[in-house]
Amino acid sequence: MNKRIKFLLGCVTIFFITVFIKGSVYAENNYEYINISNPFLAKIPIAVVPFKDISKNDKGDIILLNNGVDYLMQMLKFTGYFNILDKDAFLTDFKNTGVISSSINFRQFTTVGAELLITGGEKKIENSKLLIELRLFDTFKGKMLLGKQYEGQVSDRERIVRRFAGDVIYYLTGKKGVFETKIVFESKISGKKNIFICDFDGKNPIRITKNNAINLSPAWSSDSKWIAYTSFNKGRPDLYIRNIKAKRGAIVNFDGANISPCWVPGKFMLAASLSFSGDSDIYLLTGTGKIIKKLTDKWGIDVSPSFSPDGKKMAFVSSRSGTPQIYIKNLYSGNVRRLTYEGRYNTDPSWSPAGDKIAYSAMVKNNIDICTIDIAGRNILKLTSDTADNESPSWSPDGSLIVFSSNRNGIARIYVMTSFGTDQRVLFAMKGAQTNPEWSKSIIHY
Amino acid sequence: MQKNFLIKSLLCAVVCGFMIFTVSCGPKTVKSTAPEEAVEIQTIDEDAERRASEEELARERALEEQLLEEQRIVAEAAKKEAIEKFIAENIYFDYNEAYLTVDAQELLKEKWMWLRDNTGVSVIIEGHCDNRGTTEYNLSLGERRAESVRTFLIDLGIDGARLTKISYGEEKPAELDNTPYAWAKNRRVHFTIE
Repeated sequence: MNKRIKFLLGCVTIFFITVFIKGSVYAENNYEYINISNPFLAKIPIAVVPFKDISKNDKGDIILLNNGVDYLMQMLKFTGYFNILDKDAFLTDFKNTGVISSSINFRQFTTVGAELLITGGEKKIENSKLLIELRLFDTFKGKMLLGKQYEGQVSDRERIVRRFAGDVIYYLTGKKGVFETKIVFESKISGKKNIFICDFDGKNPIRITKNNAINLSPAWSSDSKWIAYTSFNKGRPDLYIRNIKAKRGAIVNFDGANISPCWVPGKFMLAASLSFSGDSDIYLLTGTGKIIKKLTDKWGIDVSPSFSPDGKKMAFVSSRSGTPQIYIKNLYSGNVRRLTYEGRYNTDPSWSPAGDKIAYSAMVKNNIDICTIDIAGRNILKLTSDTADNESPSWSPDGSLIVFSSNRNGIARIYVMTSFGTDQRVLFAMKGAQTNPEWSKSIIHY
Repeated sequence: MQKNFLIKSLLCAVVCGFMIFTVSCGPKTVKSTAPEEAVEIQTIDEDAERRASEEELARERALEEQLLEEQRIVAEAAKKEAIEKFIAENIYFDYNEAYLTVDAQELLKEKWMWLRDNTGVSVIIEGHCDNRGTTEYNLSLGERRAESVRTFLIDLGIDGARLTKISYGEEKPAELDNTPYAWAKNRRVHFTIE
């Protein structure tokens, strides 16, 4: 992993050089392209044409090898916002289509229904350097919405394309998107759970715990530099707080179970469920594992804390009413109120980045499904429905997607869906069962 | 005539007496050797008898030892069986519950008796759950099940220092299937000897 980090740090050679038509394109953005109430219901038809070699002129040859267009389309599709038009269906002669508006016949794209169009051109400069121009157009208005030029090493092509995909999403939604985020999860190796981290799209899984013990329930810090998890490495369930890059951290090993970590937004502090007193309660800990204070004190199981984005409230699971239900504690007033009343098993709360909803797992007729509920306890929306268990929801940092685990196809795998429950798909295939995913809370540049 | 009869009688008696004497003396010389031999035989028999009785004793002792050994093996086996039974018999729980059912309490009384009779032994009380529900909740639930069992045994007089508890939540299922039967088998407290 370190090797990879060094490599990536070594190639921070991407320079943002020019934004065509000034920077004003951002200023006039009113997000008219994406329907805020349910952006995934009506997907925006978008055409992405193969990138061209623009060394000589605007209408150069299509780049056949290492064309970034497929990767760009995969990423755009991943968001759930777009309907990516099949490039074979275009009536366009790519040869005569350039990369700037004066050399594009927009009617050829509007006739196949494309509302947005992306063109790309690249040329080699100096020795191994690459200049890539990428543009987003409104085909009906025949107008460029976003134009970017990136310079980097040839090996940075994927990163450049990923950066542009993020810029497109930022232009259209005002949020940074998920392309530079990661997901932490558990995967079983010879029957024992270990912690892994992969890219947002399931690529490049890296094993984080390398012992023969059980390791589970990983949680990201809000700067994505730390993770906390429970490990039986020393025979008992202890809490490990660990810096991902550097080999440092702390172990919380009180008597009993030291489990269920969740970091406080923007702080080097976390909450965890500890049972040394004989009763499991949630405590606030420093990032070095010292107890600051007790946050819950009712008799019964108190686990799975999740903080509101402002850190002022904490959702958690408690069995104080007899069955596991979700409660919200106001950390300033100390007031605790029950959030879920429907059903006898509601667990795993995950507070949305916008702060308005909580996603959770609910047991309905012996199956577990993922639901969202608003903070007032109303508007329950069931996002999954099949004859299997769908568990452990976690929001993407922009709030547009939810990652979860499901055994709908037998063995448990990591799935992603939009925050409205559409576009459910398995993220990757890997040996063993994968569970308990958590999306990083921020963009990660490493 | 009468005098003649008397003499004859006397003479006859003398002869008889002589004869008797001779007869009684004759065998005497023969007999004198015989008892000497018999004594000798008797001495030999006593030694053999002593050895025989020693052998007998040894045999008896061996038999006794064998019996003791057999008893010891039986006792050992019984003890082993008791340990195996102690380990093999799990305490089962209702769904999402940590309270002890009547059956669980009956079984725990047996475990209590074993713990009472084996004072030198410390045990680990493992709390387990079925795979439904969340990892974290189940770790707490397993902890709570182990705690219920531990408290029950302490209330019956077992030293708490001999009873360590640990929760594995849903991480170590006894049955891997995803069926109601497997769930019931997995909602358990399992004992191991420390």
